Amino acid sequence: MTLPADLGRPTGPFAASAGLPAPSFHRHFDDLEAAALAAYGRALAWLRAVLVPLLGPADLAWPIRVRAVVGGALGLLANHPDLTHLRASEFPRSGAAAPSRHQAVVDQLAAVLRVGRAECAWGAQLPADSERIAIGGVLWMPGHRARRGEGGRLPALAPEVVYLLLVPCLDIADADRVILDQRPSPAASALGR
Amino acid sequence: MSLSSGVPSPPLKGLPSGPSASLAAGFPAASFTRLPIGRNQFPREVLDQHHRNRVLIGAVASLAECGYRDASVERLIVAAGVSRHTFYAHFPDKEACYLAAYDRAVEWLEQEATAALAGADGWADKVGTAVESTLVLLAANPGVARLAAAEILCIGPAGQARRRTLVDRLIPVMCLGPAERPASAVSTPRLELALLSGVFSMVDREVSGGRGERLAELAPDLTEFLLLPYLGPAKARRVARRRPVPGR
Repeated sequence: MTLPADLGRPTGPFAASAGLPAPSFHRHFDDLEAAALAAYGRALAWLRAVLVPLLGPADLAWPIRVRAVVGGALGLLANHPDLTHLRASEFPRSGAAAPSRHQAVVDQLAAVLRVGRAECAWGAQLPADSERIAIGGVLWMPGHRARRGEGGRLPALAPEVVYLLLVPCLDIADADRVILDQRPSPAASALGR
Repeated sequence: MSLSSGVPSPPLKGLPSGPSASLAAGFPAASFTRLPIGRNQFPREVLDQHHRNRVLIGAVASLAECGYRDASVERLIVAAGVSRHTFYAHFPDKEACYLAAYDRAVEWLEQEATAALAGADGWADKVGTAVESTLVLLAANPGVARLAAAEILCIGPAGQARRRTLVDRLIPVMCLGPAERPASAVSTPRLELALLSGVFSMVDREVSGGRGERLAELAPDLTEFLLLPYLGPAKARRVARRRPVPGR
């Protein structure tokens, strides 16, 4: 999905690029911003459906679950560069609703990551927004690398992404051990990854 | 007219005396005042520079009131107090103007951070000083904050490239830290990219959420986050909390 440079333009050419006449487009969306929001929502739903099973059973150690989801997500994004393009390039400029929509996703993921704080001796002392900062950075990285022409190599970012997510709540040596342990998580094994 | 910021905008008593003086005067400190009587005494290039500065400041000022998408050339020239002809003499369109304003704003922030570093001791303290200097300035200048932290991503591919370039320029500074970082499985500069991306995204979040004036209060948290992988939680916290929280 590539939005026109001037988002105020008529939607006809955009609809045509999708193989639709403009009236068909407007039967579904008021404008390009609405279409971008819907595409973003659809992409998120798909990612969630694929990635949540990778979390595995709830009694699995949280660092292992984090590692499994990060590996799965980076692999998916490497195979679907259109998703990274939508998230990093098109969605941010699609309209006024984009920032809050993105931040809602950051909040949801940060809430999941917060489980690590509860198991950490110094969790209560960490900055209140540690998880939000980490998640925000993680979501930004694929776009940064993709624009450098390295979209196909996103899985190589996994160690740093996992480290960033673990290290506020995990001892550095323990975070290293999680990263260096190449064995797939039980959930990933069950899914044939 | 001012930038409605906490940074004082002294009236321009005269024009800058040299090509670097207007820049050295600082971005928001430049003035909207008309040229003094006897304007013909000033060389053409000096007048051009003055007009260009006014357009850039007008661009930032209008951004404090509305987002990039709603910031028209019409609104911008009203804020700048220049004619449409003057605007188009300097910039082909709105996008070029805002990209130039962004470049100037970043240059100003970097100059101020560099000046603040003179009093810092050691890498970790320098990281904290640079973060604090930048956030204090952004908190006091809503238009600059909005342009640098949130709207630049809305300007399209060129704006997004500006952000990536800035992050890439900061990565080597953060890479000076691994001497203090315990041996680890993760590599530089990817870890630094991840850390800086997190900090930028948090600043974007606060500005786009209308909390830009409280950015300075975030300085200790963001500093602690940046230092954590290098110093560990206890030391990172100690270094980040050494200074009083700005704005409190």
